[in-house]
Parts: sequence; C-alpha cells; structure tokens
Amino acid sequence: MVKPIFNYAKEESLREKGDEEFWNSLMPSVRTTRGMIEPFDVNKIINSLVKEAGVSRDVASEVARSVVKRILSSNIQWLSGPMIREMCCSVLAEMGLVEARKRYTRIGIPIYDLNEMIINPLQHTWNANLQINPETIAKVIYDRVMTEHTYLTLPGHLEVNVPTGKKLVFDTNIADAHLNGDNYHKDREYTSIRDYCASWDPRLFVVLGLEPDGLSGMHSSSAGPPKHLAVFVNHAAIWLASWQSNMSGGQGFHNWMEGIAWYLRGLKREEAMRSAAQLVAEMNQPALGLTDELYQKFNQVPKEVIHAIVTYVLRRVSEREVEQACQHTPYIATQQYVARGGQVPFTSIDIGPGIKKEFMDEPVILPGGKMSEKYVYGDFVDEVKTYFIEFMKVMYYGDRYGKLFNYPKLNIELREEWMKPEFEEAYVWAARLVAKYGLPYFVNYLNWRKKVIGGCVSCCSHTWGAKTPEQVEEYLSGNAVYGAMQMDTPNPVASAARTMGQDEEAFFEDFGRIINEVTVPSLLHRYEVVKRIKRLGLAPLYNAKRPNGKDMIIPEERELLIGTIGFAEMVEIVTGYPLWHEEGLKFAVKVLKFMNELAREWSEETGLIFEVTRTPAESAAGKLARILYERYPDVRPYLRGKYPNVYLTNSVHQPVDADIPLSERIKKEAMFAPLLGGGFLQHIFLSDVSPDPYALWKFIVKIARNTLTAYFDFTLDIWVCPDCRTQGTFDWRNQHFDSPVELVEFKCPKCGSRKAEIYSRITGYLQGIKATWNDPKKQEFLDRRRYSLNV
Amino acid sequence: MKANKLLVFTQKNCPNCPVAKKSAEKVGEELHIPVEVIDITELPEELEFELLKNQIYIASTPAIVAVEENNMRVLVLGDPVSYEELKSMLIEG
Repeated sequence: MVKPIFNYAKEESLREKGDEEFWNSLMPSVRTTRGMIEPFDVNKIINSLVKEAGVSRDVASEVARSVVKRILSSNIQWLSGPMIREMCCSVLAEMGLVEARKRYTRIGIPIYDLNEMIINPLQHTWNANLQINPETIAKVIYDRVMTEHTYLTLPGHLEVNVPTGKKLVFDTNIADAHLNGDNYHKDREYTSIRDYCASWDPRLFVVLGLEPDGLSGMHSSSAGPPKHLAVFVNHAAIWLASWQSNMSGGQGFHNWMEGIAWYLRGLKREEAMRSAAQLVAEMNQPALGLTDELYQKFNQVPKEVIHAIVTYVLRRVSEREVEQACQHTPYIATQQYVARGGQVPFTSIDIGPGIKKEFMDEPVILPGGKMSEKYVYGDFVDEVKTYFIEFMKVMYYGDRYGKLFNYPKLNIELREEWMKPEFEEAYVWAARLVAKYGLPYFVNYLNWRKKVIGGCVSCCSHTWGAKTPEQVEEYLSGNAVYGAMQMDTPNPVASAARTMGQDEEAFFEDFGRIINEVTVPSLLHRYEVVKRIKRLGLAPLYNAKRPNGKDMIIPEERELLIGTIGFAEMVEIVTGYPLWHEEGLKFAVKVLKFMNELAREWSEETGLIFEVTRTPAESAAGKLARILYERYPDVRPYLRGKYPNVYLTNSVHQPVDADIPLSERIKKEAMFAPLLGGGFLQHIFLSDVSPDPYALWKFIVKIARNTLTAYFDFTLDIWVCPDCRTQGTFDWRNQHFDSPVELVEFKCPKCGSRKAEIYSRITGYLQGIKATWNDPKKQEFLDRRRYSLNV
Repeated sequence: MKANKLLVFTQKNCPNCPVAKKSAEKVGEELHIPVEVIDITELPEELEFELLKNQIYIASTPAIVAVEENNMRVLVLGDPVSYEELKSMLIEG
C-alpha cells in the first residue's frame, strides 16, 4: 500500500479542517513547463523531488510542506513550475541538502541576460571563431545552459571502468577546481554530449562513400564513393562538416595527397602530349576510315590543332578542373556556416608537394575500396605537385577581393623525400603564402621527428603519430582515425601561488595533487561520456564502420590530453628567473618531465592514452589569469597584461613580450617540443611587410633542420577593409596601439572606414581581432614582440 | 670543428646499437677522442638538459653525438652506422 504522502496534517498541519484537496484548492493554478495551466497538486512536487532530487518521500514531504506554507503565507497569486522549483531549491539549500539541490535545480538564463545575448551575442562568448548571425545567438544560449549543466553534473564521486580491468574511484570536485582556476576543463559546453577532435584519412570516404547521418543514409541520403575530382572535394567538405556536428574540436585530413592522387590522373601534360603525338602520327586515312573527300578536308587542319584537341581530350582531368577543385576547397571551408551554432567547421589539411615515401610503392585504393592493379601512389608524384602549386596559388590570390582564406588550416609537411630541387618551386609557393598572409603552418619531419610514421596534426596544435604496427597498417590502408577525447589543463601558476616561498617539492606536491585528483578524473569523465554516447547511439557516426570493420570512434584509442599553460609565469614565481634564463628552462623541463611521468603512470594504470600537450588557450589564458588575480594577490606582478585584461602566457612559450633575439626564442621554445607528445605549436610573430619568399623558404628549412621544433607558423598582422576593398600588412615601426579599446577603433588607412578588420593568429588559427578576440587576447596582441627577418 | 668527446646512446634490444658502439670506439681510438656509452633509459638529467639546449633529442637509437667546443652535433640518430661512415662524418664535418 502506498503511504499517504501529504500527511503533515496529522502532525503540525496548516490543515485544520478539510483535506488535501481543500488545501490544493486554496493554491493558485500553476503555469507548467508543458505549456498548460493546471490546478496545484502538491503530490506532483513530492513525486518530482523523490524522482529528480533523489530524496526520501519524508524529506520530499517536508520540503513540499515548507513550500506550501510560503505560498500561502505570502499570498502569491501567480505560480509557475519554475517558481515552485526555485522555492524547493531554496528549501533544500536551507536544509543543507546541497547535492539534492544541484540535482533538482533548474538551469536557465535570466531574462535580462537572454535579451542581451539576443542583441549582442558576441559579448557573451570568448570563442573567436563565432561571428554574428542568428545561429550564433542559439549557440551562445546553448553554451551558457550546457556549461552550467556541466558545472552542476560533473561528478564529485566518479567510478570508471578502464581497459586494464580496474575500477577506479575518485572523490573530487572537477567543477569547483575549474571555477577556482586550478584546472581548466576545456569545452565545458560539450562535455556531456560530444567527443573532441579528429584527423581523418580522405580514403575513408573514397572507400565508403558518404552517409553523413551515420544511419546508412536513412535520414540524409547515401552517396557512393567519389569518381571524379569535384565530387572528391565535395565529399571531403561534407565529411568534415558532418563530423564537426558530432565533435567539439577541429576536424582535419591527413594523407590528403594520397587520397586525391588518383583523381588527378591524366593531369600529366607530358604523357598526354606523347600520346597525342602518337595518335596524330597514326591518323592516316585507313585508320580514320574517312572518304577521300573528308580525309582531304581533315588534312587541311593544322597538325598542331589536332594535337592540341587530342591532348585535351586525353587528359581525363583538365588543369581547369584542378584549379576549380582547389578554389572549391577554401570557399567551402570559409563559407559553410553549418557547424556548432553557425560557425564554419574548424578544418585543417595536412599537405605536402609529393607522395610520402612510405606510400610510393603502395597500390592505390580505388573508389569503393578495390586495390588498383595498375597504379601505385608513386605514379602520381607529378600530379600532386602540380595540384599543390595550384592550391597554394588559390590560397595566395585569396577570395574575389584578394582577402585571405583562414580555413582550411594548411599544415605544410616538411619531409626529407621532398627536400629536393624539383620540389622547391612548390615549397616556395608555401613561403609566398607566409610572406603575404602568414597563413600556413609547417609540420616538421626533418629533425628528431624524421622517423615518425603516420604523423598528422589536428585542431589548434595537437600532433599524432602511428605508434604500433597495427596503427601503421591502418595509416597506410586509409583506416586511421587520430584525435583526442578531451583536454584538461592543470594550472601550474595556481600551484606556484599556493606554494610561494616554499621549496620546489611543495610545488610538485600541489601540482601533482591537481593532476591526479582533478585533471585525470576530469579526462576519465569524458571517456565515460563518449562510451555512453556510443552505447546509447546518441552520435550514430561514432558507431559507423571504417573499411576495416572497426568503429569510427573507439574511446580506448582516443587520447586524453593534459594541457600546459603559464609556464613562463610559474617558472618565474618558483625560481625567480624568467623562462629564457638557464634556471628557468631547467625548471620548466623538470615540470614537463614530471607531467610526462604522471601521464605515463596513468596510461599504465588505465590502459588509455594520456599525453602532455600545448593548450590552445584562446580563452583559458585570460580566464585563469583573472581568477589568479582575484584569488592570489601576491601573483599579480607576475601576470601579463594590465587588469582587467591580464593573461597567462600560452603553454611553455616564452612570454610574447620577452626581449630576446628570434633565434633564441625559437630554440628556447623548440627544446620543449619532444616533451610535449600531444603536440606543440610555436609562433614567430613577424614585423616585416613582405619578406622575400625564397629567403623565407631557406629560413624555414633552417629552423626545421637545426631546432627541435615540431610544428610552427609565422604570424603576420593583416588589415582588410570591406568598404574600399583594400588590405595591407602593418608596418609595426610606425604603428602603435595603446589599448584594446584603441585597437577596436582602428580605421582603414585608405578610406577611414571603421569596418576595417585586423586579422592575426589568436592561437592556432587566424581570426578577426576587432569582432571576435576577447580582451585579454587583444592585450596579448598589443604586447607581442614582432621580429624582422631581414630576408 | 674538432670533437672533444663522442656520446653513444644505446638501449637494450636495439639491433644496430652494438655496431654503432664498436664503430664509435674504433673511431675514438684512432682519432684520440674519448667515447662515452650511455643507456638512453638511464640518461642523466643534466645531460638531457644539455642535449635539449643544443636542440638534440634522442628519439631513437643508436645515436651518436659529437661534443665540440661550445656545441653538440648529432652524427647519427636511429640509423646503423659503419666505422668508415662515422670517421668521415667526424673528419669532413
């Protein structure tokens, strides 16, 4: 028998006469979240408290009783479901039932804030990739709600079953650690519902075709493997866009050249010319089967014209088609506002001017998956080089008005097999892109990384490589999927602040505690989430099959990244030396090794892959610094920028304003690259208006060969005016801004338009400063020391 | 630049390490250059830092590094090396 739940009348009831129905009748009607006006029913409160807050019926009855008392005594005439819930939460909090309140609370947005978000959405996000449109408003609202959800639902008690067969138990508070600035939990808005970043092989869709719904095309449609170049490019764009809808971080392609090679077949002009010459030579009357009269007329056509026509016909893919395919790529990447609330997908392509050495003798995988008996990838070296140059040219000339394409991110691979004179022209085109826009990134395989197989880059800075024979096989056969599931960044500056004045051991104890008790469980929580997503089929694409039969997303193969931030500030607090000093460098190496050791231990403990990486920190740099400023007044002198626009230096970078020569900066950052197995991007901020591309190319090779750098870029600052359609680079000898406000007021140097925008690299991508960068990053932009290459 | 010392980095189960070690010892003896053999799994902290500072990371073995005046230079990194090849690297630079 069900126990009467509204029985307080028997105790010290408000009810002196009548029954439960009587008291219900005294209450105002309730506007429910189902969109109806219903009579008050106290049992609904009690049932919902039991179900949602997880309290006993007795406690629920007590809470409901208090709420009814408040409503009656305050003579409230207008009730809604959310109001009753707020009152319940208030009572739960007063009763000390904090966890029950967290479970029961309503996540919402004050109407004032919501109005502000609708009118000025970009003031409510630090994501520099958002631009203004109605979908962006939806995302900003979504972000607020889901971030709050994350704060409320990140478990204090976490139990994780890991691949080693162990059950790990943590009692922690990931949300509070984030809010206190001890550990930065990236992508809070997506923690509960998505995986993070990925790099794909285009041969996945070459073999499988395209079913972007992950439901065999039942909701979308099913497209077959691409047969032509234009379809290949289109499939590639849809592939990344559909995956972007399923993940929170960047989406990229590795093995792009091997993927596209077969679609460029016949582009070789020389071969076509030879074939045409042969055909022309054989165009005698019997072979053509023409009458005397027609053959006489045919013979009057100049042989050169026939040759040209035949050459054109013989080429299966024309140079024009290749040019169009190249143009198609950046336009799709920068014009499809289809991802994550009206953003363009965050896309990257790893690209080089040839075929990688390990693929030269591999048979080409044809559309549908059959291995070619005729072609190996090495047959297409000339074609892909031509394609590479064409792609660089398209990127160089920009859009119709010459404005740069900021996506896809071009990761130019530097590999030994291409360090030959025949590839130099192609690479110099990449250097031209640097000289004009500071656009491409360079992925280095010329130093200690020369033996990396399966290397690729994803998102802002993460680098990967095939580590096992199985992974190498997947890489060669087009089945490799690289990427990370989550990145959390323990804040070393907070540990340094807490242990200021104590010895190094105190720092390591504190920092280790944060990593072990917050960072690691936070990463494992996302592992649990991704497993749940797969189990419940919430992201059908995750369970779609690769050509080798494996699921597209396998949580155990995804990396868990421990990020780095603020080493420059941390080192100075702990050692008293700047990061560029020998003592500073030594301590930074020690901390990185400490982090790596913990990552290794946790990998062993769990059977999952933990790596240390550079944190992009477009938001974290400012947010953590502000918290530190408030929480630890003693560290204020060590923070960069000026309050409120204080910031931490990214990762293990030297401070942007450090007064050190460029060669020293490059080397004193590059030396950390081998200790950042999850990836490390270095920036070189240029002041030159237009460096010579040939000299620049030589400089790029010099950096790649003589330093430990893994991944680097050159950043130029470009202004673009949409009114007079002009653009230019800054001459920093004659350009100065005093504050972020002044930066926002920048006007076009040609026509004076206030709409002129400044583009620069915020972290691992280029974006407009005035419209989208947050204030601490604007301050960092002003503080950057820029170098003249004099080349 | 004359090498003051040769550092040979090896590890267990490294197929090309014994030959590299022998090559280095022979060249060292001939050119009067001291040779130090180091197990990469027991790399001293100070040396690791010096290597990093000199933009050297021993990602694979065998590795041979020439210690010169104010500089360190990688001669071999993960590849097999013969006595003749190593000698030529040291003499020709």
